[in-house]
Formats: sequence, C-alpha cells, structure tokens
Amino acid sequence: MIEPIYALTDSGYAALYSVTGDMPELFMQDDSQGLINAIRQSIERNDEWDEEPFARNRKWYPLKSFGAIVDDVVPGPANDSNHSRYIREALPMLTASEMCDVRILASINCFHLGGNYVKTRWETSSLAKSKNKSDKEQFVKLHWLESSFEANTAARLFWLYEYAIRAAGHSKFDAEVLLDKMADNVNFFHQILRRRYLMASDRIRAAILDISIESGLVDSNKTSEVSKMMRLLNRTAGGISLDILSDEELRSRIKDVMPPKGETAPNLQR
Amino acid sequence: MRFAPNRGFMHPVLGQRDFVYPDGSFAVSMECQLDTSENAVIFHADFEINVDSIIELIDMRKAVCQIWLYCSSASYRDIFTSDKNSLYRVEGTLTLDRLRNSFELHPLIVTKEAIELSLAEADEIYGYGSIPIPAGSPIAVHRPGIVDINDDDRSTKAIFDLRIDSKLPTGAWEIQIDHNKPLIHLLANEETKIKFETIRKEPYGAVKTLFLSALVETLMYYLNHCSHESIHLGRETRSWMGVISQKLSENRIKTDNSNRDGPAYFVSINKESGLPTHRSALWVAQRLLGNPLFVSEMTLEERNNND
Repeated sequence: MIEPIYALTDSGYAALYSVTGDMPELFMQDDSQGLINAIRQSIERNDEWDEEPFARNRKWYPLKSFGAIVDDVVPGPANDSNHSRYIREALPMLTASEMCDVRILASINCFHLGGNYVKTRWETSSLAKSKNKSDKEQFVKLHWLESSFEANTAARLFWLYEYAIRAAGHSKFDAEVLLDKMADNVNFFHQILRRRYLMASDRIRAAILDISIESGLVDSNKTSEVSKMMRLLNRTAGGISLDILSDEELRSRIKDVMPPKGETAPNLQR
Repeated sequence: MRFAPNRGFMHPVLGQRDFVYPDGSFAVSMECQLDTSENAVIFHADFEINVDSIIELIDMRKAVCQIWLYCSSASYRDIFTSDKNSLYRVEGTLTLDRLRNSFELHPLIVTKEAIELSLAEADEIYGYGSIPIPAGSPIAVHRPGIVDINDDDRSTKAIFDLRIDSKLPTGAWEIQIDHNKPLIHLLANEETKIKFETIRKEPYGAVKTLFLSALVETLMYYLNHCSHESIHLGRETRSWMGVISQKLSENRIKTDNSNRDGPAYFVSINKESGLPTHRSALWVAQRLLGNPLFVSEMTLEERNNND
C-alpha cells in the first residue's frame, strides 16, 4: 500500500526544524516514527505551536511507491536523472507552487525518501564527512528542510525534470535530453540555477540550454565559463528585457555571450 | 534601477530619481486581487507618463507598457503587455498553482525595436545627441509592487478575501458577502490590515474568531435565502454549497449525503420558523475554521489553570 504524503503544518515544520539542533542524527536514520515522536515532543514544549504536526486536509497519494528509488540510491548525482523522472511521474498532482512549499518538501524528504536516501545522496559533500555538530545540523537543514532547489533533495529531483519538461515546449531538444544534460553536468546546472530569475522563464531557459548544448558548454561542465556566460548575459542584455525579444533575437543575444567552440577561456571583456 | 555604464546603453532614461528627463514623471497605479473561486490572481496597472518623446514611441508602437512578473520561490516569470486598444493599461490573470509566498510586479516601458530617443526634453548634461537604445530595453521603470500570498490557513483562505479600503476608520471591519461567488470580503484599512496580519500569527485564535463571525453571518444569509427560495436554488447558492461541502469533507466532518442540493446537507431547518435547528450556522462555521472558539476556550482554561 502506498502511504499518502501529508504536508506539515507550520507548527509541525517549526518543530521539525528545531529538532535539527538537538538530534541531527535522527534525520539520517530511516526512523519515521522516531522523528514524529521528536516533533510531537517539541510541539508540547513550545506554547506557540498549537497545531498537529500534519495538515490532514493537505494529503496526496503518490502514483508509484518511492521504494524503487529508495533502494537505488548512490552517493552523488549519478542517479538524479532517473530519480527525478520517477518522482515527477509519481507526483503529477502536486503543483509547482506546492513543490516549493518547505512543509511538503520536508515531509517527502523525512517520511518518504527517508533518512538513508538523503544521507547517501549527499554523502560526498564536506558537511556529510564532518564530525562537527553544527556542520551536521547545517547538513540536515540544507538537504532535508530548506527551500534551495539545488540542495533540498525532493526539490532538486522534482525541479530538474519540471524545468526540462517546461523548457521542452520552447526547445529543439526533448525533455529527456534536457533533463540528462542538466542532471549529468552539475557544474553547469548549479551555475544556471544561481541566476534564478533567468531560469524562471521557460523560454529563456530553453534558449540557454539549447545554445549551451550546441556550443559544447554544457558538456565542458566548467563552472567558471558557465558563470561568466550567465553574468555577461544578464549584464549586457538586462535580465528583464530578454522577455520582450523574439525567439531569434533572444538566441542571438545568448550566442553573443557564449564562449566560442574549442576555446576554454573566451575573452569576456566588453 | 539606475543608469549602468557596463550595460552599454542608457538604462533606464526615466525612473524614480534623477534620470535623463529631469521634469519627467512616471506613475503607475496597480490593483491586485485574489480570486479564490478561480484560484487565481488578477491584476491591472494603469501607466501615466509626461515625457512627450516616450509617449510618441508608445503611440507609434515602438515601445510598450509592460508588467514583468517574477516569483522567486516558485521559479516563475512572465511578461504582460498592454493591449493594442488600451496602450497605457496592462491586465493579467495568473493561476496560484504557479506562485508561492510572494511575487513582484515590475512596471516598465520597453522598446520593441532599436530606437534613437529624442533629447528635446532631456537634461543638458546629456545633450550630446540623441540616445541610441536597442530593442528590448526598459526605458522607464517604476518601483515594483510586491504581493504577499499568505497561505498559512488554506481552509480559511478559500472562503475569505481580505481587501483594503482606505475610507474605513482604523480598526474597523466590514463584512461583505459576495452573492455571485462563494466568497466573503473582509474590508479593512491599511493599518488594520497590518494589525490583522500580526494577530493572525498569534496562537489564541483572535482572527479566526473574526472569520467565524463573518462566516456565521454569511451562512445565516445563505440559510435565510434558501429558506425563502428553496425550490429555485440559484447558481451562487450552489457555489456556496460546493465550497462548504468540500471544506467540511476536508475537515472530515460527516454530513448527511441524502440532500446534497439543499441547506439540510449541512444544517437542518425548522420548516415553521425557517431557522436552523439541528446544526447551527455557528456549528458549521466552527468546523470549517478548525473550531476557533473551542481552541480559545481551551487556551483560556489552560491559562487559568496555569495562573
């Protein structure tokens, strides 16, 4: 039987967040009940939290069990592409708005993907290897609780494919290609994610992805080159003004700031 | 936004401070409403500008009035452009499924093609010739409006719409029932709204109690309306029924399924008096809003015990 996903209430989320300081290790175990007990105890201790931990009227049934990807987790991003597709297909009923609600994302990370999945996925990070308690707390906040599309595990998986699907409507490539290119080249993906206002447009994202794939920038996976390209695109064209340009003009603007093929260090001086 | 030399063009030429046109003004009035029945945000913006050369560009369709919408939380941006029949007004509707927390509305006037802007009205310090500006450049910008979407209580939000009315005295509330939609408008002035948002976060249910009285009043209207016109249920009453049924169901309140189209679905009406008997409007409203009075009583009791 597939367990429904319940959104946390504000109190539930605040209580869960407070548990990170006392017991960060609890998040890294597959012990949902232990985590729920810790939330309840935290709520009982705090007079300002007056709700049940879960919002009973915010409930969704995944179309597929998460068990298949939970058993398939490996350290690092190698399986992100497949798992992203799986999660997006399991949760078609959740809207974009809901999939950036930390009360839902935290619930998925803690009670559906589970502690072992999230811990293993991010095992290669320096925070994961640290013995320092504050680092462990930070590790849990980043990958279980906070809203970053780069670091929150459920958000990262969902939005990878969501970005690809939405961009595909404006792209020369289909969603599967865009997904694989972003998931497999994290230095490229993280840099374009950092210009979130550019990523927020399906059309602009599609144009950036298309031209970056064609020019070889995606596969070069070089942080500095991608960062310079994005910075230059914003600086010369103006982040807002790109929306009004025709597809041809938009692509021309992006091509102008692409490092030429075969050159590793393009001249970006203007 | 100020002129930025590294962009390579004037950006913008008109804004909130000392730009190319010293006597220029650019004012935008925006209105944004939450339409909970459509789960959407509806907005419109009216642009006013006094710089002849920019007005000329707009009239010649070389520049357009736009609203650039950006929601960073839900990674969404969109551009809304004025209609060809009303060049200085921008309207838009957007579903809430794509938005979270808050979004920004940036009023802009943007060039549609490469132009050279006349300096007839411009400051002397820019008097070295006309200003070349590429296509897609914002030539006039206005401070953005930031719209908060509070969704900390979804069952409540689905029924209530908080509006600002500056004519109301501070601290006053006005409750209006929308007869066409399943929506109660709570009117407050700006200062009251701020207070409202503050107390809404407090745990003792003060605002929910206000919601409760608004909802009871609305339900009583509905019941009285239906008791007189029970045979001809209008579309608006069915809309109300839909919302009420759905919310009761979300809160796991069992109701009598035998009479879904009538008020007895959630409340029994005394045929002689026409008043609710078995389940009162207060009973229903309490359950729709998570029993705020009960919570308040409990809290008061707990407080007394603690004292």
